[in-house]
This record gives sequence, C-alpha cells and structure tokens, in this order.
Amino acid sequence: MLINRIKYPEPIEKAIAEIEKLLTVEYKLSKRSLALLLLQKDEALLAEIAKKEPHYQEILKIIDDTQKQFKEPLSFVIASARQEFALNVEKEALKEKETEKASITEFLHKLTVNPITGIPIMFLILYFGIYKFVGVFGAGTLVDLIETYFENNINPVVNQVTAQVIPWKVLQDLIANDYGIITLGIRYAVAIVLPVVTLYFLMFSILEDSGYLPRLSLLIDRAFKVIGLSGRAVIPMVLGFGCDTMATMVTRTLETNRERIIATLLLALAIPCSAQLGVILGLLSNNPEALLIWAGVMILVFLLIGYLSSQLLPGKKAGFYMEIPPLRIPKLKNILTKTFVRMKWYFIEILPLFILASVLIWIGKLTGLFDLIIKGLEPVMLWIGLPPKAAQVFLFGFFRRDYGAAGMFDLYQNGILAGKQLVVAAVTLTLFIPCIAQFSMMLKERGTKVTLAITAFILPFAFFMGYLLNFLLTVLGVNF
Amino acid sequence: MEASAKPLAISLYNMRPGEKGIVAYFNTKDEAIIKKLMAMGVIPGLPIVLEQRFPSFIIKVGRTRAAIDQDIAKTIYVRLTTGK
Amino acid sequence: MDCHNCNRSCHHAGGRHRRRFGLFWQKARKEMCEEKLLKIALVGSPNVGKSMLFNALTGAYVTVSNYPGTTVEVARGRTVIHGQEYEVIDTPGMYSLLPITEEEKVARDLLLEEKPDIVVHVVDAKNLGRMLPLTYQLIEAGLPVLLAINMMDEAEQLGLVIDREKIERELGIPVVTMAAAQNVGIRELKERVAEYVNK
Repeated sequence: MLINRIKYPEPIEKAIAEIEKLLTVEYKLSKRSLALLLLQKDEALLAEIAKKEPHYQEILKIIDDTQKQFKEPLSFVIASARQEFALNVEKEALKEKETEKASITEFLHKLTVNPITGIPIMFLILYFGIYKFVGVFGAGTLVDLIETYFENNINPVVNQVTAQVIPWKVLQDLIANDYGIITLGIRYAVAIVLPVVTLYFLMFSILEDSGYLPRLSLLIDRAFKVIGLSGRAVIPMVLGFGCDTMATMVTRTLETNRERIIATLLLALAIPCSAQLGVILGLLSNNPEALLIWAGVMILVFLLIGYLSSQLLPGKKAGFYMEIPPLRIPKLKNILTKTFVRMKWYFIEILPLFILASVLIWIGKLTGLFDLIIKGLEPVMLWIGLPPKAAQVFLFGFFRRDYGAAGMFDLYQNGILAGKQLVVAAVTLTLFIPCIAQFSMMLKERGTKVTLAITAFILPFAFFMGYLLNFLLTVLGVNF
Repeated sequence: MEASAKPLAISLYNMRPGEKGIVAYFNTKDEAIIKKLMAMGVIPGLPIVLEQRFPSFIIKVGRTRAAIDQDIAKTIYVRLTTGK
Repeated sequence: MDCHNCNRSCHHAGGRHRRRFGLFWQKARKEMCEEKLLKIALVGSPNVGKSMLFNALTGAYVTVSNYPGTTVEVARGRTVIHGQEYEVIDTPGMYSLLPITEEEKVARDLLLEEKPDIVVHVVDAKNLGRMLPLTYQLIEAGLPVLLAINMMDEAEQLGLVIDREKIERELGIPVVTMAAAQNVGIRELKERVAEYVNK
C-alpha cells in the first residue's frame, strides 16, 4: 500500500528536508513528523532536541526563517494544508442525500438554547430532575423504605449476633450498636447514600447522553463568567449535587488552573452533595420558609465567594468554546452501563472511607479524643445559637458530610433542634468542610497547599455565616 | 492559502443572527485559540452560519454546531455571502 | 504461542493494590509478557465514542490508573482475537499530535512510549473531514494506523453515505466503519486488526 503523503507549501517542505538532514539521533517518531512538530514550536520536543542535537541552533534558525515567509503562525499554515487534504478526501468519499431533516430535534434544540424558552426549561429540568426525582423520591421515599428495613430487620440481628459471638463490649461497638461499621457505616452507605447517588447518576447520565449538558453550559456561560468560571464548569458543578468528590475529580476538564481552583473551592463550600441534599430537604421540607432561607443563603454565598475569588485570583480568564452535539433520545443500555460504572467507582472509592470513618469514630470515642473535640466545639455551638449536642453532629460531619446531616436528623427527631436552629445548623453544615473523601480528592487533584488554604478559609467562614444568620434571624424575630 | 484581510471580511462579533458567510481567518496571536477552533471544525474556507448571539454565540460550520463566548467570536473573521 | 502462565501472572484485577504497585507492576509485566502481548492503542478526539469501543472490546477487565506524574487517567483492558490476547489502551482525548492540554500530551507520550502494534484512530463519521488531519499526522509519525469511522448510524440518519474503499485508497491504510454504541462493526474491526498485525 502506498501512503498518500501530504504536500505542504513549498517553503515548509524545504524546511522539513533541511531539518531532517540535521537530525542525528533516533527518535520515537519519524523525522518528517518531528520536523513538522518543531516547525510548529512544540515545546517538549524543542527541549528534547536542545539536549540531544549538536545542530540545535541551525534548526532554530531554519524555523525562524521559514516563519518569516508566512503571515500566520506556522502551526496554522501546516494545519490548514492538512485540513485541505482532509476536506478533499471527505468530498471524494462522502455523499449527502437530501433527507427529511429531523425537524423535531431542530425545534427542540431551538427551544433549549433560546434564552426566553431555554431558561424556564432549565429550571423545569432542575426542578423535576434534581428536586423531585432525586430529592423527594430518592432521598425521601426510597431512603425511608431502606432505613426502616435496616432498623427493623438488620440492625437488631447484627447487634444480637455480635453480642453473642464477641465477648468484649469494646469490639461489639466497633461492629454494631450505635456507631458500628455495619450498623452505622454500611447502613448509611446502603440506606442513605446508595438510593440518592444511584438516582442522581441515573439522571446525570440521561442528561449527558441526551446532549442537554452543552446547552446548559452555553446558557450559563455568561453568568458563570462573573464568578470566574466558564460554561464548561457547569458540568462539574451539576455533578457536585450528586457527589462532590467525583465532581472535584471532573474539574480536570477545565482549561486553566485558576478555573480549577475556583471550581474546587465552590464545590467544597456551597454545593451540597446528594446525600446532604437528601437529608436537608427531608429536614426542612416541613417549613418551606426555612428551606427558602437555606437555599437563598447558599446561592448568595456561591455567587459572592465566586465573585470575590475571580477578582482576587491571578491568571488568565477562561474562554468558552464547546461543540453542541445533536439532541438524542438516550439509549437505555448505555445509561444503565454508565450509571453502573459510576456507582462502581463510587463504591470502590467511597465505601472504604465509610468504614474508615466508623473505625475512626470508634477510636475517637474509645480514647476520649472525641470528648475533647466536642468540648472544644460546644462554645462555638452556643455562639451560633445551637445546642451543645450539635457539636457531635459537626464532628461526624467531617467524616462524611451526610453523617453530619443524618445526625442532625436524629437531633431534630428527638426535639433537640427546633425552629431557626434548624436553618442555622443546615447552613453551617452545608458550608462546613468537605467530607474525608472529598478532602482526599482535593489533595490528589489540587495539591496540599491549595487544599489547606481552601480548608483554612472554609472552616471559620462556615461558623461565621452560622453566627451571622442566627444573629439576623434573632434581630428580625424570625422563627418557625 | 491567502488569509490577508480582504475588504469584505467582518468579525463574527458584528454579524447578525441568521447571516451566512465563509470563514476567512482568525485575528488573534493566541495559537491555542486557533487550534481549538480548528479542532472544533471552524476552518478557514468552510461555510459558517451565525444562529444566535445571546447568551452565547452559536455557530454552525459544516455539520458541526458550536457555542463560543464573545471574546472568541471577536477573533473569527468571516466573508459574508448573504447580506440580510 | 502459549501465554497461559503469563496471563495468570499478568492478569490480576486487583484494583487498589495495583494502583499502589502500579509502577512495579508495569515493570514486572513488561518483563514477563513483553514478547507475547500485542498492544492496541485507541486514539481520537473526545466524544467520538472511543470509550464505548473500548468497553465493547475489553468487557469487564479494565484497570484505570493515573499516568505517572500526572492526574490524567489511562484505562487498560484485554481483548482476545482468534485466541491471541491483546492489551487495549484507551488514550485520553487528543485533537492533534501537537499538544495543548496535559491530556493531549499524555496521549502523545503514551503513543510514543508504548510502541503499540496498531493504533486505531476513532473518528466521528459526521465530522470525518475535520478529524482526518490527525490520521495524517499519525501516518506521518510512522505509526501503524487503522482508521475506525464510528457513529455510522448517526451519519445515516443525516443521509450521509460514506465510501469506505475510496478512503482506504486515498489514505493507504485499512479503514473500518462501525457504530460502537449498537455493537455494529466490532467484529470486523477485530478481524482487520488481526490481519494488520499478522501481516
């Protein structure tokens, strides 16, 4: 088979020939390819030949002389020449039949991107998709079902069996009872997180496969620019409502380091993950005003901190460009596969942390370290108008934000938290540090320095906001 | 390929929705932007339609639809083929 | 061609440990199986169904690990064609051999370091014209390239008809058309890969 080689404009072909002659070492790619990449100022390869090639300076001179013969950058000239060949091949080999244009998808596309219809559609999707489907159905109905089953059928059995098999109370507590690996760790994982996260990933996969997400990005890009992000950041932000840990990983797809840092900060601070969202929605759903105040404070913090960090952080502003694929009806098999793969990831990454959290809680209680921390937190609780018992909730909140949220639920059911305290606790807890899993992902993605800086900001800020909200509600005499 | 500024080329940023043209050249020193645009299919010589200006610019080049922000729209120069 | 012993020793699906001993693993595996195991690298820009093809080829035995020194993830799996085992490497998305992002750089490094026996360039049938430049660059680099034109189902919906043989003649490399999402064309791809490698 004869390879049909691209002919570049004459000066470039001449330069390739000259550079090829000057190269003395063997490389992993052909000399022609290497010469072309050098002409396009490939930094990594220029550095490599600077080390290896005796004729490095001459090669640089050829590149400069060639560039002088063109108005545009060489990379553009070379890309254009290739593109022309490619388009010719396409013209030769591809015939377009006149088809009935799928006018319905065109019509839908117009609806979703036109701001007048697109923005209401966006709210509808978020309302039904996240609030109704994930929040009410997942976090409400399904969680109740599974929780009840656990409490009535599994926990008693586990407690009984461990009591009979293991003679020491200390070890019994590790496995069972109030904070055991099975009775707390696995119960939370299976009963609270599993249904919510599964439904969330299911919904996210549907949105992803239908091609809606890029449309969401283009609608929001302009607004996101204000908080230092581009429309591209919509995807990790929306994913954050499912699992902040995964979303932190997905910030990789963002263009600049500046944008990645802002996105990571906002995810850690103001985006509640589905486990939290579930508990908080359940908690506040009886008082619509409380829910509104909580949501309002979150949105306000999100915008304010985003705006401030975009003003303060140095670096280039993110540009936005994105391909808009056609809208499609998602295929069930693909959605199920995607959801399954994400769930698998979630469990491999996160279940060990659940178990670790249970073990740490057990150690903390055993050594009395917890009591110390809780003692230290109690004045802070009083300062923001919460009962001292809430300290425990915040401590557990670090191990998993939803532990904290679920702990709050218990306090609420026992009548310890009431009225405005609920909103204050919900706000503070949502803002509070990320859970262990997200924290370790931040370390992995952003490095120690940035992660510690973000955490050092979030901790006092969360309690300060709690204090401020409590103060405002008291002054305004708001109670539920 | 001659990409000097012929009189008719205007910036995409100054086009009206529905106007058609041929991509002429990119007016930017930032090679990364050029490369991204070409990778997305915005290639000099191809027909382009501006479909929407707000909240983001939506363009169609060949069979590809893309969304770009104002700053990138300013760098794309187009020779109009249909004036409205 | 008996690779059984080697398979057993290389084919651990221990997720966590493997990540921890990733480098050790790669070394050990290289020493044990280098001659036996043929490599297929999948390349292409994002959103061309590369991952779907990867899943169709490899099934469940997939390990994802970070590329050394970066946060970019690279997936590896196995597939069997005519009783011969291949390692399939799914590279991060790349538009061109001239990298802009870290992901593109990793994809290029992988292609050059791993020395795959065949590079499958996956493209979207609907956007053939703007994806072929990478095919040309891979050919220029001297890599053993096969072009897989994916998403044929969507192209057909748009009324596009692609003359596969003509493209094959134009480029001088094997060309396969497929719709990975529907599992169409996977078998033919495997046949062509085997044919190409055993040439």
